[in-house]
Amino acid sequence: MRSSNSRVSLLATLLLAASHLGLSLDVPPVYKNTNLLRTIDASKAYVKETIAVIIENISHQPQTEYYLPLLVSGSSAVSYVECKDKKDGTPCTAEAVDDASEYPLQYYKITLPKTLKPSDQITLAVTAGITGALTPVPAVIGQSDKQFLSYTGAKFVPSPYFTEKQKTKFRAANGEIPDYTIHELTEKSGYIVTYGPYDNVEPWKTDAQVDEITVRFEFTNPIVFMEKLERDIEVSHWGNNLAIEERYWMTNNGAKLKEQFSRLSWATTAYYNPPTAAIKSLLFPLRVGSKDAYYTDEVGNVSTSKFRSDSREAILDIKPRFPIFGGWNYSFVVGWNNDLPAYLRHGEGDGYILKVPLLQGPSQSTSYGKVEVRIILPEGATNVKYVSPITIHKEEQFLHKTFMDTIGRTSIKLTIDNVVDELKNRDIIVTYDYSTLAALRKPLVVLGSVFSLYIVTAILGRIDLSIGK
Amino acid sequence: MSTTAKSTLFRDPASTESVRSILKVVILLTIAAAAVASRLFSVIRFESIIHEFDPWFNFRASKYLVKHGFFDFWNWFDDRTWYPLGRVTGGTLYPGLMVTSGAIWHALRMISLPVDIRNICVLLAPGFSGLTAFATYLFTKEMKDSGAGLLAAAFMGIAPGYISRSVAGSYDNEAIAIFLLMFTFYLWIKAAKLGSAMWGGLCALFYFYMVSAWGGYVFITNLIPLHVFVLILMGRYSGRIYVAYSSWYALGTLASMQVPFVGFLPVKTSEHMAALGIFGLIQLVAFVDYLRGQVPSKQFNTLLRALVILITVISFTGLVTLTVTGVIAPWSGRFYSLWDTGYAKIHIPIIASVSEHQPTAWPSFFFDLNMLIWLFPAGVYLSFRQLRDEHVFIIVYSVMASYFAGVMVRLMLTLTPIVCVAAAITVSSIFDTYLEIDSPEEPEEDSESKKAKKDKKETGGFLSSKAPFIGIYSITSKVGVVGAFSVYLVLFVFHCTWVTSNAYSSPSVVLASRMPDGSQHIIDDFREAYYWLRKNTAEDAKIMSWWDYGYQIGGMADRTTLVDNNTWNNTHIATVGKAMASREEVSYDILRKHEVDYVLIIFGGLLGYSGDDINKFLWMVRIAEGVWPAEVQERKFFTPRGEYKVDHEATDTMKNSLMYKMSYYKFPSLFPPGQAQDRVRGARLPAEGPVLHTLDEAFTSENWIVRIYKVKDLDQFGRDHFAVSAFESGKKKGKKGGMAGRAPGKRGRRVVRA
Repeated sequence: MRSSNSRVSLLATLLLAASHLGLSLDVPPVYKNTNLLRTIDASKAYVKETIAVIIENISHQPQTEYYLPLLVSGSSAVSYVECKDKKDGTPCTAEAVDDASEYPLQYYKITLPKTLKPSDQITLAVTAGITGALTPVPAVIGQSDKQFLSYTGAKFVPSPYFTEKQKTKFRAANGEIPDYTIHELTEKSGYIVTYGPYDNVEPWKTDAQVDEITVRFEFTNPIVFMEKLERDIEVSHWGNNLAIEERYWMTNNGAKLKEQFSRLSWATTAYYNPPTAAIKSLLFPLRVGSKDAYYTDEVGNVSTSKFRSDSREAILDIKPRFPIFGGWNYSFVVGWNNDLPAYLRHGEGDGYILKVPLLQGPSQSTSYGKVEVRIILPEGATNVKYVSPITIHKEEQFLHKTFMDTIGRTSIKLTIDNVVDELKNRDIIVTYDYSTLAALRKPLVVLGSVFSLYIVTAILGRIDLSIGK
Repeated sequence: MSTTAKSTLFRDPASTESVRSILKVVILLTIAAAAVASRLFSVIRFESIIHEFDPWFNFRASKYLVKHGFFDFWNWFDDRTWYPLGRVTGGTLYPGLMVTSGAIWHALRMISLPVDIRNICVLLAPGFSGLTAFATYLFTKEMKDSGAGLLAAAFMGIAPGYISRSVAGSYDNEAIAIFLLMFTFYLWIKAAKLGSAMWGGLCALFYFYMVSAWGGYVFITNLIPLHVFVLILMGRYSGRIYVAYSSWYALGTLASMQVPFVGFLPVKTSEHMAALGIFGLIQLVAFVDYLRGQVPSKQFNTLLRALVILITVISFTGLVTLTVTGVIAPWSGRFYSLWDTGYAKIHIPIIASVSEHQPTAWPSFFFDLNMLIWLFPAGVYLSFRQLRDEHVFIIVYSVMASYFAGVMVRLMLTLTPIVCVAAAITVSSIFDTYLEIDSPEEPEEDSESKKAKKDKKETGGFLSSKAPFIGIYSITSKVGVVGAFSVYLVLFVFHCTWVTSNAYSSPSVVLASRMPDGSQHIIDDFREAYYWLRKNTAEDAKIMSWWDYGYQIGGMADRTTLVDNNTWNNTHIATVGKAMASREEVSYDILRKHEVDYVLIIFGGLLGYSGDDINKFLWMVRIAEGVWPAEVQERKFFTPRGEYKVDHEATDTMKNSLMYKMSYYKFPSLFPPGQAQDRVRGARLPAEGPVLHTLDEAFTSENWIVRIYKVKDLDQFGRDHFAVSAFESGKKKGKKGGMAGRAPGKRGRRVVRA
């Protein structure tokens, strides 16, 4: 929804004005968490925190808003928070509350799917993607050494409500967990470290001592981080084509190389194909029917890519020019075409409805610093509206002038900060009006200019410029 | 002109005039299309990419031009090359090429076609080759007729000698210069024929464009005066020549001086003195001619002729004196090497080290021109038969270009147009003669009428007017000759296509090889390494490499280089050569003083890529020796038997040189012990590779073609790097001994307690 963005900011402003500028948000203790299970999934290149909680209204009024803070310390940041009723799957909204608190708590206000009457219970499932929470320890490793990541978080969920029972499960990427904090009731089995269950946990107090948990675990995959992604979705009615181009600025956020890169050991071990913290290849699962894929970078075409497209799948498998070790950068461009009919429907009158994936991307777990999606509609399209599957942080409408355009193509640029690949492959729906006259603009302009050129040449050719006869 | 052409198919020239002109346009367009298409092999096989070395600089400069605008480009001081000296790029280049593509870029933007500047640069040369074909048509049409013109255009369009420098991606000055050369010559012929100041002025305009585009403009600067001089010597001075030459010289010279890189050279250097001298001479001749008109006396005439010769001799002596005293700059080294092919090798190794400056081998004439090369003398002979003023130009051009093409491979390029023209005249004459369907009935009568016709038409010829017309009587010989030539022409097309496809369409930045299953495998090591530099080194990192790769590093890696293909400072190049050729102690000092961060070398030993730095190494040594004869000696790099070896027989100087060490560092470890093989030089290497103390290997590309080394920082404790590595290896040994029996490293779970 176009208005969703402005609504968030409005709400935030109001809340900011309403709440006193204290250390933390003043949340009325109207709930009790009957049972809380938190799962911290660190098997990807970012942390996915899932909190399943049974809440009970202990006040005397019916309640609709539930607050949940997330701990974002250091370089970490929340990418997204999603919430639903665990029983029937009804989604509910979770919105960040800008409370200007100094302590690294980010409050989220969850609007319950239904009004909760006094002493009623509801089970919520809240999922959050947190980036930057994993740091490689040690920060530098040898070229063929194992990579370890460390996660540090709070032992308890910093809930402002009283919790009767809570448990935290930490899921590492594999069973190799050399270090983890041991509190009471700590158990490790396989690749899961469990803390709890703990009974009767008091509401979170900002000034109290924080019990931390730190887990260091082996991570055999690279930590793919796209500092920036520019994604162009270009609709061509005449060409009956949907062209998608993505420009990536990639870096590996894993442990850096201790020494310089040695091709010798890379080449000699390549034979065994050992797990490595370097990015060797990226796999882009595209929509079925994608074609004409290309893979280039700033110095031209990269020949090390494979593209396979059949009736079941379309896969673009690319290999960077060199393995990307921790801290190394690489930027590249991939693009492909799709037949437009699969994505565009003709609505009423001049109306069109476009449904395209807002984000695609490699199958490897990836996080994005900044994503700019440009949707380029045909020249002369008007009345553009969209419904986004994820929160858009900035929106801009502009005219994109390219091949043989006279006024430029109507385009929108959507900027999203801090994205994780959990959010990819969700469709954005764009509606716009595009009249037949607008469609005929280009052929008419070309025809007109060629014709006028012809007339001018004909006239000029008839002028006699010679001096004297 | 077309009226002189004997029409064979269309008996009535007047009624078919419009059909002919449409046919001509269609044929010319087809030729232009063929010329463009035959240059696209590399784009289709590889991609739209800039080729080789110099084009990368031109491309970079073009990008700068479209990004910063013309005036910034004009004042461009490039601090990312020739570190720490920098280069006044705006004032030391021929801007014509970049300005042309910049103008095309802007023009396309104006009509809403935002084409990438790279694509414009890549396709500029093929585009201009179409125009060259057209210019050749115009030029040849002036020489014979439009039939010969079309043939010449077709030859020019596909001759490998020209394609070699104008395939798609070969974005070099020659890309537009050959068009300008031919068009300037056409305008000159037109001016000389008509005696028109307007055509002379146009000629000057295009001469200016040529000057702004290519250093080879000196060829025009000398050829036109030579043409005039020969005409005067032949006693063919006329007012037309006077008007044409004076207007061309005055305007052209003034215009050419507007190019900053040329500046006052046209009045200061020997290369331009011929034009100036002829300009003076033609004034004298004009004066004498005027006097002769007034005083028709034979004795006086002879006296005046003697006077002219005397003045010529005096001015020549004056020129020599001025040159010796240094008022006029003497011939530059590159020009000396045109007269004495051995000169450069002794005095200026840097010029001799460039492969395109080598003398031409005989087969390459046949390779680049195929059948045209044997039609060429016939065309020159035919020019002698007619010998109008413009035919003298062909002869002069042929003689000069043949000589230069023999001296320097690169100048094959200037020979190609005239070969195409002469060959077209030959083939056209043959077809004119043999394609006449009617056999002449009465030889005497026919020849009489022809003779009369020719006398009327041809004013300048003296041999042709005497030649009787002889027709071909037998149909068999007609069919035979025409058939044979048709076959030759078809074979020529096949040859051109084959040469273009096989020899001239490799970007050299990207190498192609075949996989066992026959599929193409791209070896892309250069771009791999350059891209690594671009992405993973500091923005202001300084890269030292041999000058060949300077432009590519600037273009692809976007990093500062010490030397590049501009080669304007021999000492700086010699410094790099010395750093490569010296022992590490000496080199490290040089590297530190030049703030070098990375050293880049090309090594083909693994893949068998023969254009690598070890093979170029002797030139580095020679160039360094030219500046520091005491410190670098070529002799020391040869074994006592005079062989250049890299295996265990290599001399100590060789083995201790930085280049050798960097090339073979860790290389033997890639093979089983004792099996290390250098595939370029076919040498078995010593089992133990060289040890580097002052450099770290930073990056090596997939096939080891590009190796990048990082220069170590100064030691934190102020020790020299040899002491450090000795200390570290000693310590390592000690540690190993001390820890014998213990498990290396600490493994197992460590638990943090809260």
